[in-house]
Amino acid sequence: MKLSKTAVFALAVLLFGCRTAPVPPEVLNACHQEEDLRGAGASLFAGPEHAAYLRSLAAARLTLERENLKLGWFRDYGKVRGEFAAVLRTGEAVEARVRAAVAGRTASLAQSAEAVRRRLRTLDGLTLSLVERGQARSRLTRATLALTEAEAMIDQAKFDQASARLETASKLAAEAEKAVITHISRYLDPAQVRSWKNAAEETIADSRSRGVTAFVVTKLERRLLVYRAGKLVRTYDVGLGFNGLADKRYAGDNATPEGRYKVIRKIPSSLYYKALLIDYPNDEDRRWFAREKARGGIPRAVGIGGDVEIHGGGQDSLTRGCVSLDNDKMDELYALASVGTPVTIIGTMELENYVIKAIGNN
Amino acid sequence: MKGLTLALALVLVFTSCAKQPTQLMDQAKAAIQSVIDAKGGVYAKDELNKLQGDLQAALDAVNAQAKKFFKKYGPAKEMLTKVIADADSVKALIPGRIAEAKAAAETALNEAKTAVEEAKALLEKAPKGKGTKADIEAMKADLGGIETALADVNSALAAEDYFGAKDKAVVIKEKAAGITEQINAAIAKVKGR
Repeated sequence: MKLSKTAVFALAVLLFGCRTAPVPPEVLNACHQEEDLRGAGASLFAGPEHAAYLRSLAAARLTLERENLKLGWFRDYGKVRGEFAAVLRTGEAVEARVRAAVAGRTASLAQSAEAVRRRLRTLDGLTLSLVERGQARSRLTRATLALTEAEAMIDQAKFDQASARLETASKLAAEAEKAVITHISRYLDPAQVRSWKNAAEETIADSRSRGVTAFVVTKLERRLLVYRAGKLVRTYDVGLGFNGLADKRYAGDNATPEGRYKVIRKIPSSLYYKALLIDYPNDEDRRWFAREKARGGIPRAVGIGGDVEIHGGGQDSLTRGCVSLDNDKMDELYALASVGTPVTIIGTMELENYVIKAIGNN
Repeated sequence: MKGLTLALALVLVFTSCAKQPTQLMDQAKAAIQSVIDAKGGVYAKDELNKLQGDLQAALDAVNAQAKKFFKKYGPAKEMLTKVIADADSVKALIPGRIAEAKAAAETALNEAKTAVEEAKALLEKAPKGKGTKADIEAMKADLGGIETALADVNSALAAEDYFGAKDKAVVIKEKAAGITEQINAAIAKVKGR
């Protein structure tokens, strides 16, 4: 009797246990693939294809379920294997599509980000060279922050958010650009530039005709050009006032005056190394000042200012309206200057100046 | 013959006339909606995606049975019940995750504020002599922009956009640290003269 029970058990194991076919590995692989696709945002980047994939996966699982309901002896996973293999192939195609979509959007947004970064770089250079330290710099900083955030979002495939941040960065860059243009609008006006150019050319012509040395300061390029008998013999980098690109209007506005001046005194030892005092305000400045004051264009209590010099102390500094050079260059300039040397200070001689080019490129 | 008819009738009653588990389907949908309402889309994104996938699979199973003559909704019901239970579990996770994200955002904001304050303090101490004025003025303006951006972090926190707030704060902190480096370079430049 005991033997017979053991035989029945062994037979049962043989029939229903040991003869059960293993579930094909494709089933588990499909599980992993389903998770991977979900994590990769397949529904977002390949919506219809992903939905079709999920339907075929559900159908394959139903086939598996049906097969599992059969007694082990009768199970045949051949069809299940085939269906899951097909699902895996579909999934691979969806994966490829997701990868392509992600790569495409990443490339497109990265390109936009690079364009914004280029624009910000140009504006950064412009604001630094123009010493614009108000609205433009502040907006530029915020634009840079927004751009950095956008770039991180692109890396994380958060494309919609990245796109929104890029738009913010672009908007702030446009505002910074507008602030820069407001700051230097005169430099973009061809009539104004022609007038400056004429003043410089007259100075150079005078240097040629009289055979004397003359200085021309171009504020936009921050250069001091030395002409001898009408010929350019030296070029120096210079620093200007806190508000150097503006034309001087009154005392304390930190602007550097524009006009035709001359050296009236050579100071061998000034507060800022050697200095050449120029005759600001000249007669034209005084007339303009009186007219503007009468018109109410400038505050009643302020004076016209004075003591504008070309001095040492460093060309990368900010003055209160003077023109500054590095001390070794000041030594050279000091030696070249005499009392009476013409000094013409203008905005720029270049109609196609770098500001126009930079803004145009943007 | 009578017995056969009765048996057939019974089979029809228990199989082909089985009703769709509409109540359970509605409950499962409502459970997922409550996860979405609890900001699951932000704080339990992967789990929510999985829940939505599971719900779809359950609904597909219901539809597959609906097309059959002998309907058997048992497995679909099990799937729907699991979706409801899983949705409840996910929903329970969210408050903890929000608290975690909020704390991380606040920490990042404090770090950003500290970095900005450090930069400002250093800027105050920086020698404003010849050669550094222009740099310092530019950096002051940059810090002004950063302080405005700090207000954006506070706005994001107030709007409970904790991930966004943290991302912004981290970027601000890095930028402020960059300015501190620039100030130190400007100071070194003056000292080096």
